[in-house]
Amino acid sequence: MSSVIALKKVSLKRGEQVILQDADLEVKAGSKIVIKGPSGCGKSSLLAALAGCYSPSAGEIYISGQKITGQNAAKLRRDIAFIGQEPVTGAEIVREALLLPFSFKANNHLKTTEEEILSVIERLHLKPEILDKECRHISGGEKQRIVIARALLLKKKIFMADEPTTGLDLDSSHAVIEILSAPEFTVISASHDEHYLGHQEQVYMFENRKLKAANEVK
Amino acid sequence: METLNLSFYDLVLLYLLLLIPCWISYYLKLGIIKDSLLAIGRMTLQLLLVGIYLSLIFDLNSIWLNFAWVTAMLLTANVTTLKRSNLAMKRTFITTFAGTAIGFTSILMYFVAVVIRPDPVYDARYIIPIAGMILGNCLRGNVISLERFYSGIREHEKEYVTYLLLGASVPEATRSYLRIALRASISPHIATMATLGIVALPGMMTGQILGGASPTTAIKYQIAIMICIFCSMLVSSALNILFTRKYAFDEYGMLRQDIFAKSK
Repeated sequence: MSSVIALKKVSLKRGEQVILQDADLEVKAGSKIVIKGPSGCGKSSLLAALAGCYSPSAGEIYISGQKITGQNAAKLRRDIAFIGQEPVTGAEIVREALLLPFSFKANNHLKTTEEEILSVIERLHLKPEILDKECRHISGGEKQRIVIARALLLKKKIFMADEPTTGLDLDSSHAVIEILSAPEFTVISASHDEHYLGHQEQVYMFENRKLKAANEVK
Repeated sequence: METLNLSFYDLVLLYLLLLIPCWISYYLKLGIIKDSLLAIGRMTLQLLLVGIYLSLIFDLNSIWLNFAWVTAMLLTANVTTLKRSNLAMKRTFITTFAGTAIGFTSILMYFVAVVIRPDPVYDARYIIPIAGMILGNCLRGNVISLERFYSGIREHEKEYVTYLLLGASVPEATRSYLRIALRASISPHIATMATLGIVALPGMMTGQILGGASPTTAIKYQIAIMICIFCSMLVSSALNILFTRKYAFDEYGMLRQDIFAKSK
């Protein structure tokens, strides 16, 4: 099976400080990988680089076999859904937040329907009434699920998740884990949540500027 | 109607008025006497020099001298805009100069050459004061719009990156910040226009009336200048953002940190 994401001798810098050195990683389609490490070590920066937000200081990152460069980053990152610890809805009303990406030119070829929206909402254990609520009035867990729902509507298959369950109530946490565990998704996440970690196939340790496979959980 | 001139003696009488704020400051220990007197001294000197210079410009009434004066005003306004909006000169000077120049000169030329049509069209008595009024307001608008736009993206970086990751291009991802910046830039002028003549009599109109013009003429000029300021502010604020935006983001769509002036 070919790699969906690959890192080849990747180094990352934060300012002048090297935070990751010579990292190699291959992520196959459908894999669930979690990165652990002390807070501030650069896990979020690594996820952002994997999502095509900035270039590594050395080495190469590949998405679906294509090397990320400044020229193709915008195109390649359309395949990736980024789930942050503080989910950003980007609109006032939940429905607007779900439809927001469909207003962008690059997504002109994508369409969604009310049925599809309702089905995704249900899959994430949310009630249809939430669609008309203001984003600022819904809980953090609901916001997280709305962000995931948006990724599902966009038919994204690769997820970068930065502490996706931190601070969520048990129900929300279960719903997030359930959806991210679906076999069709490739998930690279950073987390400290033991419950979440228990559902991941492979744990990597990010320590002292190195990325190393820690153990096989499953 | 003849304007009553202020003699040197009249000005001395006016400066005597300053004893009142000085006494208040001394009595309440406000600590503003030195700053106030220095500011008034600077103002007097600057205006005296401008008075002398304007008299010379008006007498010569040369197209090139007027052009040079307006260009100098534009350059000064541009430097001030960048300093106040905390943007790096090196990366933004040419783009903001172009944005302000287009927004400001197009409206100025339209007003002078198409609407009031003085003879000659470059008449310093019209070009210089009108340019000053339009440019002063453009400067204020540009500072607010640029500062709001770039600080908005910097402060809401996660939101901005989310838009990019959802497929937005840089223009699409920055659209909401552009709207906020332009509204903030133009709103004070809209509020001023809405209350003009009720809350306060505008300076230009008052000046014209004191200078002997009829209130009707003064009002017509005031309306014209307010419309010109409104158009010019919006055009130059929008162009400043659109032009700088081309160079403010890296190839990954991230806001370049070197767009901001280094904090001292």
